[in-house]
Amino acid sequence: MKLVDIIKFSGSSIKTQKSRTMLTVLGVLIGIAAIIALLSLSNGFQVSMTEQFETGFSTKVVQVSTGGVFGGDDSDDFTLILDDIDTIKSIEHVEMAVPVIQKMVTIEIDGEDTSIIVYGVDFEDYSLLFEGFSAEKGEIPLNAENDEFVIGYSIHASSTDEIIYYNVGDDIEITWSTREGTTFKEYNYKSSVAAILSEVGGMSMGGGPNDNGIYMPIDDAMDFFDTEEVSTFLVLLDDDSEEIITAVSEDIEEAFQDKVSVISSTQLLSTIGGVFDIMEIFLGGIAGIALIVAGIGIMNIMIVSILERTREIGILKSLGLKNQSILSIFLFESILIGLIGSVLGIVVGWIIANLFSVILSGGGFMTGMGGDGGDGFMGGISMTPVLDLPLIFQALFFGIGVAVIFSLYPAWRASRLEPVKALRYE
Amino acid sequence: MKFIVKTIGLKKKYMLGEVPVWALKGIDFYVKEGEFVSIIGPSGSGKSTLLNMIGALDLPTAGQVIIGGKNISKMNNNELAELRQRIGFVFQFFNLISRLTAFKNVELSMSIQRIPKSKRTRKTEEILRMVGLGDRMYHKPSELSGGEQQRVAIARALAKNPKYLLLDEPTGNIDTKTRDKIMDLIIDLNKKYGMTIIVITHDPEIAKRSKRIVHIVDGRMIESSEEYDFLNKDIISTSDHKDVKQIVKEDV
Repeated sequence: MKLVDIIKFSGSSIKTQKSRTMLTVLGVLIGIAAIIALLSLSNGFQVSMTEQFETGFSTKVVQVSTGGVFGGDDSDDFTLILDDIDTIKSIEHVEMAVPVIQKMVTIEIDGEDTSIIVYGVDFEDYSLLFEGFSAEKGEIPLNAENDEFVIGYSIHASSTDEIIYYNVGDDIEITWSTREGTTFKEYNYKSSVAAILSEVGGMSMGGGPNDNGIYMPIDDAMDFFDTEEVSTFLVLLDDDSEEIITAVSEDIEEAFQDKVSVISSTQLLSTIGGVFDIMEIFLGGIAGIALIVAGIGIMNIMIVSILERTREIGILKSLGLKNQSILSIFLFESILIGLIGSVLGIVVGWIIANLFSVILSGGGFMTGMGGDGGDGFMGGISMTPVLDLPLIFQALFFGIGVAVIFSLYPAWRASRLEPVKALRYE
Repeated sequence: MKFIVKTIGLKKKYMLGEVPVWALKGIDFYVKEGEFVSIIGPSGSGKSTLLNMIGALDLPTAGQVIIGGKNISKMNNNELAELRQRIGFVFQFFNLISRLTAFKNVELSMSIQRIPKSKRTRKTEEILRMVGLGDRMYHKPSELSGGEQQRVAIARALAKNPKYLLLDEPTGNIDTKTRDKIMDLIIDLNKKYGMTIIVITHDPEIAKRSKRIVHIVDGRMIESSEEYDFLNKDIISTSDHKDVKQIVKEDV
């Protein structure tokens, strides 16, 4: 029997058992949709994070702080202070060190008090490190006397640009409270907006510009917050080779008696990459289980179908159809089921991923982190799902592969039936 | 005239649970090209088993089935399948594929032979018209009468361009009037086209119209007579079975 006739015959059998085929297809569809939705979201998240780190970080920059990447342990009271800049600068291969101070403050956004982080930086040095620190509106003040704010895009407007919170020239009042004995003392600081940064998207963990941050000159910040404490030094090296980065990192750690951690952007990327790899395996595993369940469904359906069609197999054999052609007929039936399920699964998974993306970006992931509850002001984390060709092919491969693997045994059994016994089957 | 199919000392054993049952106990049988042979015998005598063997649907436990000069026991699965492609089989219960139309059922046997689509279509239409189903081609078996379904089955067997046609009680499930039409068709095939025909039947009317009758009782062939006037002559037994004459008479 020619291949085209085998496919047509398989198709006619699938068409006859519409509801059963539909349910089997549904099993594959769910498995593939889960794979596509989870992995395209994870891909999207990874791409947006990576992009952000790549724009926010030069490979020549290392970050020196008392904690790790995600805060870390600072049970020790050791803190970095502004004067440490000299120690860092004295180390070989260090070109420049930019101190950053951070404070959590409250500002009013859309009539509600909202917690955000104020960064005290030297605008000029900071913009040398980060290309993303550029104004979309207004101009970043580079003279030391100017005490105006530079604000992130999400402080300027809502995610859809429908509501404008603060524009260039508007005053922002920041409130910061400190504990003195048993009472809290509140400080206010008011300044106008000099510039609005271009939208970076998402959040920044590497110390780069951030849509949700307010930037003020470091000297003003130190005065206002009355602190010498520096949260991070961003250190520019004269070389981005791994040896130099490692050597400088070790030198800095040594200079501070191992009380600081030094993180390079490449290290950060690979750490985050590692997290994503684990996440992908985990998510892929969940989706894989769904697919295996679908596979068992296919196997079950095929076994039932072959029992029901034993007589038909006997007829085909009496007409002279070869064993391998019978095997092919049943395999093609499951390939068709796998193919239809996979294609529909890819479409459905993609729709689900986009729905999630809309919910996540509109629903205020960051707002949740800020503790203000979901009005979506912060714009959330931008997470456009990424569906690339390799993922589509993987999904098709797995969908069809599972269908074929789980139908191999039933199809083989069908092909081995003896014609006389098959014809007598009631 | 050469033998188209021949069996030598053919034996077939089945297991009924753990009990062995010999369905055929040593049959020497032959059919020459162009013959029309009836196989008769009581139920359970081994007729269908013999037909399955000479149709290459089943293999002997002992003895030989020679088709076209080749021993089927020595053939592999593919060779057996190819051999079946050239043997027309018509079953008592039609054995049509219910989801396919009459046309598709007939065409199927040719698509198994890898005959090109255009030729298949032409030949299917031709054969269905020949068996009188020109206007029923695109009906499914459930929309056809028993007689029509059996004609589709005959058409499907003929579409293979078979070396010989095996019919297992072809009129067992249809009324007398239709039976005569089907038999006319079968006899026509033999007379006009020289098709070799082997038919199992319980029906004396059908057996009467064949050129030779083979009688099987209890797994053994007890009579094979040419141009046998079945109802009028005494049976000369070649078997030592005591009640052969009686059995044959009763059966017929």
